[in-house]
Amino acid sequence: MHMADALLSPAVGISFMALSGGALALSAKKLKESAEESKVPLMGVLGAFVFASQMINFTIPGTGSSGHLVGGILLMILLGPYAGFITVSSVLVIQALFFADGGLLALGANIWNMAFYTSFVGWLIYKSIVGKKPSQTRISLAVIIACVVCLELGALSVVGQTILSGISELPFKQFVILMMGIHLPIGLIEGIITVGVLNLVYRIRPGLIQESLGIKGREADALSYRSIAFGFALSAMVIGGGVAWFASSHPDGLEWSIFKSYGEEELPLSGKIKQKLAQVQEKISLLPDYGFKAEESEEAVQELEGESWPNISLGTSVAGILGSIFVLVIAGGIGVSIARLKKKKNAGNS
Amino acid sequence: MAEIVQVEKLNYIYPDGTKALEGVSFRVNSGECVGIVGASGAGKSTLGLCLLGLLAGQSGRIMIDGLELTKKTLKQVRGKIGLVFQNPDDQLFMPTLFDDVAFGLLQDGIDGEEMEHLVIDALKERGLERLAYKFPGHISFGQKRLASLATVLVMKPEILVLDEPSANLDPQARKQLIEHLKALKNTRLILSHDLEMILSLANRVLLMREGKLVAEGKPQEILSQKDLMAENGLEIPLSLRIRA
Amino acid sequence: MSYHDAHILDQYAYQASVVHRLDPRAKIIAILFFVIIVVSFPKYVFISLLPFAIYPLVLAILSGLSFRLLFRQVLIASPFFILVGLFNPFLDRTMIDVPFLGIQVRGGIISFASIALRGFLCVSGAVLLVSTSSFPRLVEALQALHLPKAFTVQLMFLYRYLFLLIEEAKRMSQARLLRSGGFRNSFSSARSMLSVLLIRTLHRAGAIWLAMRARGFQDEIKTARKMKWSFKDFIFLALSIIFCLWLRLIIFEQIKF
Repeated sequence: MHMADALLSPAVGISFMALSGGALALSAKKLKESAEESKVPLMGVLGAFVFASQMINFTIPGTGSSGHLVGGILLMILLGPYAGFITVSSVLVIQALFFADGGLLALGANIWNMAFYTSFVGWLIYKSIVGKKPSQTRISLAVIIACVVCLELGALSVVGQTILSGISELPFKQFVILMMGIHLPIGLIEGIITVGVLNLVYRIRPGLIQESLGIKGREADALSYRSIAFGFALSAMVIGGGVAWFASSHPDGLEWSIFKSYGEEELPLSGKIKQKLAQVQEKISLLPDYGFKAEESEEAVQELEGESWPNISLGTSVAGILGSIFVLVIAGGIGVSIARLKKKKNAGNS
Repeated sequence: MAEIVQVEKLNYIYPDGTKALEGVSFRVNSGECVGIVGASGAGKSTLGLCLLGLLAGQSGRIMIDGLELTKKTLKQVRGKIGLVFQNPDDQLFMPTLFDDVAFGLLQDGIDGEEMEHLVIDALKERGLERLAYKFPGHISFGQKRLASLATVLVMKPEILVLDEPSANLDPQARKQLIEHLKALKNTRLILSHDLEMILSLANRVLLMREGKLVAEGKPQEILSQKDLMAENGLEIPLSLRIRA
Repeated sequence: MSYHDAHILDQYAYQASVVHRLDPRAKIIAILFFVIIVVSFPKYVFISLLPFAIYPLVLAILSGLSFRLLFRQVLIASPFFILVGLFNPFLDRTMIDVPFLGIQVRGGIISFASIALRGFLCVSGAVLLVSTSSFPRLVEALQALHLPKAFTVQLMFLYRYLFLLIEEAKRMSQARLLRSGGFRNSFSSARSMLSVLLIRTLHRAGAIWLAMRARGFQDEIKTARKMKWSFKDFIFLALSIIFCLWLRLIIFEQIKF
């Protein structure tokens, strides 16, 4: 979520301008040192790609233009951390100026929240998971975890910047729960689509992105979709587990098996705050409508020559989200979407 | 007439193993206009790129205006031979036409007033001086085509290679382009499907097929051979059919 | 819809007006200063913020910017701050004295109104910046202000291919939607379109790279254009700064609200 000028104080705004500015200068220097300035046209064009990809309409409806899927991790993989950082920053500049997403003073904060984490923290995560033994599983795992972690860090930072600025009255605890809760499914979706695109591009034109993924030679020849599914499930458990651990002290407890409530969207609400937060959630209308229709998906499947989406088993999905209502509402939504995915896949197979 | 381009046994293989060019050899004389024709995939564009040493892994000997094309002479050679790409949007990558035309000059170290004069002159010659500060996305395709020509001609290359210059042009823009090309004094290599244009411009024609040079000769002779044209997926140009 | 607006804003940027002719560096500094001053007020301030609206509105009139477009952009940006500020009236119930009206209002309501007004002012600033200077000139200004070249040159390329790629993606998406009878894109077809778009984009980047090499590019992009400050630019900048400081320091001291 983008930070707005209206919620900032000059101190916070200027501080982050300085931080992001410093990071930009450093990245530019690194690029020059490694003689990679020639990447600049590629960086620009990929930046334009990010905007173009938001035209491909399945992204989250509601909050004005879909500023969420900034493609930070994708750019980090394709360009490396320094070039990636510069590119995502420029995407944010264009968003602020042309698309009313974020603000001028807030650019520093937004660059930090959305470019810095994905480019550098994301890179570290990717490197440490994929390391010297790249494989479908590891890559999928790395991408999804990186997306979720970086988006959560970004969300946390927005909260920090807002609280520090002192213009909004939102209390830390509820705000953090709200922001980090909302960005969990968003991070997952970003991760899934990034993995999906990388996999498909690799399948069609491996040479284009082989190096970026860290794959040397013909190592990752076998595109096993089972392992993608495994990677997804594994990362879901890792994330769910991590979050669950963090929330285990919460009195309302956790729900691990979400899918008791297929298609259940209305839930009993109690407490004023919870009511308000639910209203907010409706307004933002987080979850994309995947619009699964059996016939359409058949066609898509045929076009990709028998490619099929991973078989996501019910028991493994993201759980352990802070707060009982959020667990149920958000998880219920995910449950519905994933259940539809599975239905579609089954329809495609039969 | 001196030979300005000598190509000997040019080979190029794509990274996936397909042979793009095989043993291509030919000469071009200074001031000539040579048409290079062939079906899609015959290797014309690849040939164009190789002449500027743009494809890593090309082998064979290329002499451009007495200079042999090697890793060391790349920059010099590119000062003598210019390539107009098929898609002007790939060539007009700066935010204004002025910047695009100035690009090559700046890379050569030509700046300031001298650069400005050269840029405006180059645009004037193509009738584009009013559009100097226009964003390339805001002008017509025909204007883009002429602008991409200007970006190359401003460097005053001895040799000009054009990749499908008339593609996607409406009849008026096409006519205008042909007139511009006719008036040029540079040695021209035109890679094209547009056989009518080749007929009206070229002194000589080279026919390519599957990466090999299969025929060479006067345009009238080559382009009127029914079997040869059919073999290469080409049609005898209308004006030759009528004459026959 | 916001893509349509982005296109229109871009077209405005190439118009001619007294505001357009000002040095873009002056505009960047002035508007940034404006934003910083606006957000520098404490939270229970509303009336003192109102006169700031004169700045963007006057610039809009002088530059010929449509008010409707301006307000539409503010509306698009608003969820980000409205949704957060909306809670203030419920969370902050301290009663604050309102001068001139002699009543007491809940603090949260005042701060929410303040957030909304700040939002309007700051977004207007951004809109005016982008609509009164062509983007290439703005980037040149950033370069002249010593931002790293890798960043600014890359911004140029982004801008150059932005609308082109958006068009390409739009066409792809429309073609697919037409084939599938108008249903929303499924996850799978979105994925395949994105992949194809990415591949095409990477190829395009390769072609641009070749075109650059063909014109002598080696490793460092060299740029031209020196920008010159004129007297008018100094006057504009000085007036803008004085206006903001006057409202912030002198007027606010009087009203304190």
